[in-house]
Amino acid sequence: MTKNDLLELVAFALDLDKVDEGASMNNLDDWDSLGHLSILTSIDKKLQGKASSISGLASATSISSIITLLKDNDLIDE
Amino acid sequence: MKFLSIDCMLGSELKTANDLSDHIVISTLKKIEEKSGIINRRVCSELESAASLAKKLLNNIESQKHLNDADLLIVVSESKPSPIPPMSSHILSEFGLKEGLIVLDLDSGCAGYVQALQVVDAFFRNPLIKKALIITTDAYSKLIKSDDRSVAPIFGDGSSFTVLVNDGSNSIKAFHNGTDATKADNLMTNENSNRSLHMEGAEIFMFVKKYIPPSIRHCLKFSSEEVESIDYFFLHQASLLVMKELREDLCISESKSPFLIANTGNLVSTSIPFVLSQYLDKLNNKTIVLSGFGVGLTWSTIVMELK
Repeated sequence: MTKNDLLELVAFALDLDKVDEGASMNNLDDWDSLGHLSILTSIDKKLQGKASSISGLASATSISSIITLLKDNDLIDE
Repeated sequence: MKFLSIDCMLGSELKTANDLSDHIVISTLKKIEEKSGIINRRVCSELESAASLAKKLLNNIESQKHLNDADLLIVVSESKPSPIPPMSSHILSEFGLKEGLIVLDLDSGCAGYVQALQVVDAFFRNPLIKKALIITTDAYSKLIKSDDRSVAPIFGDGSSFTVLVNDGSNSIKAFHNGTDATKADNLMTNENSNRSLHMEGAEIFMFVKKYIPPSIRHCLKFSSEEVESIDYFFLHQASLLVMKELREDLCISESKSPFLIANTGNLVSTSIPFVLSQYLDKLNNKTIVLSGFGVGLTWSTIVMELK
């Protein structure tokens, strides 16, 4: 998965046209607890079930923190 | 082990999204309804409680008969009114002396019924233990604030009474249990005087994704079964979202994994017996999987072969 894939995936999960790398639960109304579940589900599908093994992903509520966790687990391409 | 009967009692009040609309905006409630699959919830009235629902189930001649000749009673509940005595004492207080009855209490919530079946199975290895009863009862609504959208639109209150007899068969072919207490604070009540339930839905969701499909696969492998050879998967009824994820992950059809809480809400310890009760007449000579998961965070899975 690339950063662009992640941005597209989050936008799709939140039913938005696009999101940028600064997006988070704090600055997007659509990123509420349900939206967060949609994001987690989409990431997990994209990673073919690997997301549930990433410690801390459930509480990562910004694009930047998700990218950091995916990088730490070698699951995102630069 | 043979299921003789399962009776259920739900809270008497029917609640809809509109009942929460003073506290949560209706568009949010509709989104939650769509994801959770829960349209109506059955909750206790002010006069009802987890103990009173269970007492209602026992308050008839047939139940009394079972209570008088059973060897083992397991009560599964997290809703006791005070730390001491156990919930079983609150429930049995009106039913007189039960000499010779082993009474055990489990407070493991949504996994509790499946754990209780394993305890019954172990007791039934002794042929002198001929009849066992399991009562589940919870009333989370008493712990929920109406403005907490992570829990208020989700949970209902209910109780069940299962009667099992020892027919000499070893019904449980495989089991897999576990707990991750490092994550316990994702589903717990706070410590202040106005106890209320707190749930981190995303953490619970990831816990389920991580542990439940492998637990079910482990049981299938150990019992030499395949998804296709299992007649029914009775999974804890947390929400439609969770059920859909498990179905997809394990490639289970909708018809084999019923979701029946659209008009009750998540009934916690009663969720699995509630579904099971509606299938009991279809379970002769069937192989079934039961998996409960939640508070703890704990899970419990079994494969049962029923005669």
